[in-house]
Amino acid sequence: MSNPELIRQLLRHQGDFMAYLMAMVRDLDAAEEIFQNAAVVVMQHATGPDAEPIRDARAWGKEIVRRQALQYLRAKGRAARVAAVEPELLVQIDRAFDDDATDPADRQRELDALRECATRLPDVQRRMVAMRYEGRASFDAIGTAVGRTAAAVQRSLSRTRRMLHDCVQSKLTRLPGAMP
Amino acid sequence: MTAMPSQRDGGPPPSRELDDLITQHFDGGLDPAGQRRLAELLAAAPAARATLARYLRLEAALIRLASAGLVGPVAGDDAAVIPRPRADVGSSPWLRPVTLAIAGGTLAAVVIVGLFNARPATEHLHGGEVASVAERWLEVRAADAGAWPEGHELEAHEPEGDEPDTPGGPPAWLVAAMADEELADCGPSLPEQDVRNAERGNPWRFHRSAKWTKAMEGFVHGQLADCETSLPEQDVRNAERGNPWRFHRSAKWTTAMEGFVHGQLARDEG
Repeated sequence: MSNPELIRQLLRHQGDFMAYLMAMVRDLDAAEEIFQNAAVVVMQHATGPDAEPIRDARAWGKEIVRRQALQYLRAKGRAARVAAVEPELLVQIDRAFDDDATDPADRQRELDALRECATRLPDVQRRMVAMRYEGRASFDAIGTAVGRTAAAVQRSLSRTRRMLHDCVQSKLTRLPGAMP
Repeated sequence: MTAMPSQRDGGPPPSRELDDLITQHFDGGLDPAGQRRLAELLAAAPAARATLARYLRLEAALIRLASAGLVGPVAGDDAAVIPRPRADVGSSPWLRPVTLAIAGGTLAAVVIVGLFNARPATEHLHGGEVASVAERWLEVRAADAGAWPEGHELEAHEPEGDEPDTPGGPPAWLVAAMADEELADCGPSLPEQDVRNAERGNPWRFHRSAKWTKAMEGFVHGQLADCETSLPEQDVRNAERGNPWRFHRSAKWTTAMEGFVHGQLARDEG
């Protein structure tokens, strides 16, 4: 293992990369597959004879993830029913990711806050989130399970994400030394 | 149930349009015009991009919680499944094993996929090579464990009975491959469906990848291609659950258990 630190860095930022991929492809399975492909590239680099230290592993890893995502969208996007994202939006997603310098402690606080906020969701919303993120269920499947249309599920999940975001922000601003 | 807060107490001024566009985008509900409008808002203000960054972090956190199965419990199950919050919010003990499990699973997959990537496509792993892969996994995992910040080492975790998972331990598919190495001479093969089941022990569910499927075929079917006897029911169930106790005969597994369950590996090898 010529550069195990690189793989450690990849794992530390795995959640970030998955979220970034979700913003690009909006499909958890596709994001996962792209991340795998990116991980293989990183592994090849890290174990190669010419492996060199990477100054900013997050930025470097993100670039690999981004290229893998674009390659995936070109190759499989249509077949995988992953709709294309407007190029100008991809640019802004990139900027938002690159500019985000939130430190690990603050990320941990966000995670803890989200865990608490999730417990406060109404049961049906929580169930839908679980089906979507844990079960990878389609909007149709969720709708069947909860007695709603797919479109209603999609809207409800969007509202739920907004509620969770607001709940997390509300909790964080009440903590001592909270993020600005 | 306590009501969800309806507004933020601080931070940037809320923009309903921006938030709505972002959340709709994540669910694939934005048409091209909506995407261009969102891009326009994001390009116009750093604060808007900071809002998107918060949603990206929220998405990452949701994925982490979901991977740990901590989103789903319905009312009444909370106390049994979701740990109580600690005063020190900067450290979540319940997430440590989850994080390590995710990291371990992914790292192992990276190692294995990397290994396969360097091999001819038609070549399969033989029994002894499974051991080599396991050793490499241990090596990389140990190095990774040593990198966690002080206080974030794997907590002691004593498996009980038929416990399905070992946080931080080798992922189920590797365990299954190690077990099948022991069985390679006696004939039992793991049916394709069981292979998929075994992969469910992997928190990142690599079974969906064609590359991963190929790797699994190499592991499980390659060395056992001539075997026709099905795995006994108990063994299938154990393989599905990544049950460590099935593999008590393996010295390699014993080493892994000592290292990962009791948290000694990193110190010993460090």
